[in-house]
Amino acid sequence: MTWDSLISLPSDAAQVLMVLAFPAVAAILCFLCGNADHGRLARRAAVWMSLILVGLTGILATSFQTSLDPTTRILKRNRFAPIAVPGDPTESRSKNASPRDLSSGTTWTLIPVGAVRPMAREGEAEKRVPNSDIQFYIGVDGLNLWLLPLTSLIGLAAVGLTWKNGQDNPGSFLGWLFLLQFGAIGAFLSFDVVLFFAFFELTLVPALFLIGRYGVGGTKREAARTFFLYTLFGGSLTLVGLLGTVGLNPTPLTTKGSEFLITDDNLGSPKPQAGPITFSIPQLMHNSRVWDLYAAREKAAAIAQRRLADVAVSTARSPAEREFAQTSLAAAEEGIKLAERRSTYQMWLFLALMAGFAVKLPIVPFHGWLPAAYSEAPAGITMFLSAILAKLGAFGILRLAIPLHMNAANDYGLSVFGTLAALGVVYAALCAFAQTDLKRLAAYSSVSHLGLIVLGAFSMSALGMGGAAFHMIAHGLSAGLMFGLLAFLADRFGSLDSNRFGGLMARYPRYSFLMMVAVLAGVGLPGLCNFVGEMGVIASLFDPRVTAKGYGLAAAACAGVFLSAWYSFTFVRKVFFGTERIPDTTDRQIPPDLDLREWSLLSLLALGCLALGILPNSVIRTMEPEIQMLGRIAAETAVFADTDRIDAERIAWETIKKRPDRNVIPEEFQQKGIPTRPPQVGPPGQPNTPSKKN
Amino acid sequence: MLPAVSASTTTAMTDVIRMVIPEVTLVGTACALFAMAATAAGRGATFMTMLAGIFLSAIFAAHFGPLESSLLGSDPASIYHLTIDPTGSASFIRWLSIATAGLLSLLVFRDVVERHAGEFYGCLAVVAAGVSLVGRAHDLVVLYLALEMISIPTYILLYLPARNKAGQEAALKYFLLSILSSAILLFGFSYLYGATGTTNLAAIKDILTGANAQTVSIVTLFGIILTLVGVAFRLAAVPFHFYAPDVYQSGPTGVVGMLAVWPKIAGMTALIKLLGLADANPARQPFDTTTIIPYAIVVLASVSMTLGNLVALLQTNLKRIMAYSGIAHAGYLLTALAVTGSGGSAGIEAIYFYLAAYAFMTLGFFAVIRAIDSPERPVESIDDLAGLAVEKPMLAATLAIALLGMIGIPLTAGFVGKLNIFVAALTAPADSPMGQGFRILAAVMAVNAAIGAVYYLRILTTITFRTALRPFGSACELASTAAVICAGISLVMGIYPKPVVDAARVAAYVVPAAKIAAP
Repeated sequence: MTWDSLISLPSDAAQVLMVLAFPAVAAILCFLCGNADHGRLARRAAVWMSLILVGLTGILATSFQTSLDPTTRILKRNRFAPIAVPGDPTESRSKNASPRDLSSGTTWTLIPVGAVRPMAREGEAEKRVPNSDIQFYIGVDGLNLWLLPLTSLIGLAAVGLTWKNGQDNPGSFLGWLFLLQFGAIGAFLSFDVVLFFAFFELTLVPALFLIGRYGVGGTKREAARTFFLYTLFGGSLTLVGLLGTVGLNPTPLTTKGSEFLITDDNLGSPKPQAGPITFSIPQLMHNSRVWDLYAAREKAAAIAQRRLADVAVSTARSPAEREFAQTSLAAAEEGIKLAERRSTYQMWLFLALMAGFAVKLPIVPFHGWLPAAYSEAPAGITMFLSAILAKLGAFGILRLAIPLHMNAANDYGLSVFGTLAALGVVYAALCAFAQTDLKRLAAYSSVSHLGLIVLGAFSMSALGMGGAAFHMIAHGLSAGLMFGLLAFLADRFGSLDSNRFGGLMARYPRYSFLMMVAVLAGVGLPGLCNFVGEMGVIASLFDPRVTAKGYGLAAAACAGVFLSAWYSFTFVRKVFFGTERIPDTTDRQIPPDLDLREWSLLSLLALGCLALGILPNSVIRTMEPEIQMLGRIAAETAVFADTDRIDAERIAWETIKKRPDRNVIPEEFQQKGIPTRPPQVGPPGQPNTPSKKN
Repeated sequence: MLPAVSASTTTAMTDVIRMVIPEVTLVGTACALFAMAATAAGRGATFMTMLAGIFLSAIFAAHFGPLESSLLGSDPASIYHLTIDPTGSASFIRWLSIATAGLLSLLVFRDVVERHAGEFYGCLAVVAAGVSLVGRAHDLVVLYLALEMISIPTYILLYLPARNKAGQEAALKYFLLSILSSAILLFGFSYLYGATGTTNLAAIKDILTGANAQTVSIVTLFGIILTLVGVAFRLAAVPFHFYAPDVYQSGPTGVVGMLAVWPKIAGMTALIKLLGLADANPARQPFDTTTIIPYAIVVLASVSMTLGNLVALLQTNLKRIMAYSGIAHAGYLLTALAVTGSGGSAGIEAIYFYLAAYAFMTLGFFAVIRAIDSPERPVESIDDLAGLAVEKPMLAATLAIALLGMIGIPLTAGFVGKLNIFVAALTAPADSPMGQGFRILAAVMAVNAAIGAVYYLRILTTITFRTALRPFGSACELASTAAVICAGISLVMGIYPKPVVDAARVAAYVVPAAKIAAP
């Protein structure tokens, strides 16, 4: 990572780097502005920089949309393939190069970890194995592309709508806000597990100060502390999960020392050796898949062996023969245990990994921090927390938890987290119904909708994951709009108690109109954004592979959607219709409707909701290759799990067919009667039999 | 057993003094300072002399350091006659001790009594030389002397500024327990010598490795466990931590800062050397590295961090919190040490990096406390820090960076340090007897990191969100400077850790055994 490499950066990579660096620079500028000119300077600078950031991410999204077109991108290698990676050694420098799923990472090392590698000699290019260092590996792909403009848009709205917050020092308030954006954008862009985690955790500090220092409620400090500690606790476990995943999945190497790839030729080959560890997410995805495949095979062979030994025990005709058969049975049991060790460990890692995401999202029993944090934070910050930070959890599931632990996600995803999420959808909806504080109502409604994302992601089908990925963006816009609109009430009346409002429709027509859009979007009206994602998620639960569980979960999800209509319309009826009730303001004057600043920002979000609802395809198409690939691997992994049984049947049957009438007992058994290692039972071409310790 | 002394070996032995020029400079500075004390020189002059000595020592280190390994001679067997080993951890620990010595001289300035200034800074210089010597000791005797060069001046440092009963009690408590631990350490050394017949670390290691391949020797095991106990006192690891809370609370702030940092650096380095772990080859370890020793360390580590963090939750006194926090950090360091027995130098790299990170975070913390603490406006409990962010934003920011680092938030050195330990623990080979144990240990550490965050965060929220009860007095300029430097280093190490990680890797790298001729 030298200055040379920075200067000779290709334009697309430079663009990505700029989108990441800009919020950090903006934050520093805001901090420097401080309270100068009564904060006018900082505010003006923040608005301009937010606008520039929206422009940058907008340009990024539109310009990369063509190069991420699904017709040219198939992701044949079954791993994420970010483009525009700064420091990519093999990236052909032009933007329109053909299929781009062969990105090979980056050379920008942050923390060297692996053993000191000898320099690659010439002619050894094909032996190149992936780097085992922690790297500055960022890039753009279908999953994260649209989250960037979303973040900057919500950031702009947050700057605009918190105009009066942070009176004592607007510079530092806005600086923390930009730092929050920096963390979020960084996490979205990362393709290195540690880098992802670093950005993920980095968001804690700005959020702590934004809530604890600039919050509005009386218990803001406690709210900030609870938020920080809750998230940090989950985050620590996530770090262990991530690094455990790294340790569990070293790069598989062929006997020649080059990277082992799953190809048709390779499938019959012996188990690859464990190579260097890696922190790159695409590489880990591949490694995990290879080791899963071989673990499934070993288990199948061991099960076959056990079955044969069972038969041998029951048909044994002499004590020596029986003893031999029993030894063989014990060895088979041992083999199965060894083969299952990986899946047990993987389950723990998956649970650890999910801890942080479940808290951040939050999935229901881990939502203890949320009501306080959302209601104590300034309105604009609540908007950002709900629209962007919660998405970090959802994004973590799609980017890390599922791809790196396909097996565990198949086994425990829907049954554990899906169930929790389904319960949460209903529970949070009921909670929302019971709230009188409007911000809490919106917060619980947000939790309810986020449960749908979890359900969709863990349905493990392309439809559900696509729905979840789309819903991330859709919910970002609609929840952002909702909280933004609540900021209006908080700003005008200093109160968000729904009992004190009524009949606002007549006095505030513009405001009421936008609120209708937000409510209808939240309810899932076709033509507005949430409909598309929710539809995909619920439909995916009827997937034949998850039917039994799926019907129940789908029922819960549907109930959640229904309940959301119930509480939303109740809220609308109470606050916007009926006789007019407005709490007294300090100056005894009736505050005006939305001004131009608020109107333009909020209608921008509302337009976004509408655009996504009418034309969801532009977003969906960009995500398609990633989603299709995840669905493909998930299906394949599910088949692997079945292969345990199918293969065992086949192997056992084939061996039985070939077997002589009697069990052949080795010489030394007949003479001494001492059990020794039984001969290996397994299909030819599989030297790695399970009883061999690995 | 030992090979005959060759001509080149003899030269190597005479060259020893040329391998410790910066340390000799520091001790020389100490002598000059003691002489100045006799002439009743003022605090300022003493302080300037101290800084000049450290600066000179740094220049010598930069100039002679790279040449030192060429003095070793080409004969591989000469390693069995060396008393000083300038390779491996030597230069990392030297630079760390010089840097921290500089910071500590700034930090302790307000603790120094005018008429004892010479003695005070003189003792500090001797301790700095001792820490650096631990990094290059290659012989039990040198190692013991180096460790005593840390202990003995510390008694004086604790006692000199002690103006009240509590302070004197702290000094005495530390003195008695430290003497005891030194005796235990020496007792352990005697067993190691008795079992091998030599005091040379490389020779001990190779002889014990040969013996260990056949059977576990009870005598060496006993010796090494005694040694572990002796060093664990310096690390303040549970159950040898009892002195720490009282001594920290009542000792002079600057000296407590020193006590929190230097004994840990020296203790961990000594342990790595004594356990012969730097080789990173599980098949070639002098002790039984599959069961007893790692289990002992794992127990020490997990109990230290859990107890340290839990008890710290109950404290309100700042220095007492730091004592328990130091106990918890000793647990983190021991975690990395435990991992190393199963192979992979990642654990040792993690230790060296963490030591540096810990040093700058802790010194940063104590520097802020030292800067704002004064007899008129004492800063004892957490509540005394309320409102710091409004009144002294710069110091509050540096304190916040130190605290965020200790929590392990990204972009600080503490994050990278913890990350390295986690990586080492979670990528350790799973087929060793301890394989799953390390993963559980990592999970314990993760939970502990989260528990630790509770009390660090309590301090952080107090300084940022609350308003001051009483105005702060003027801050000590020198200690403030030290605080700012610490925060800067901590941030740099967090944002771009590669240079320090590379240095730690060099420190952890030991010439592979195959390249040294067998004795």
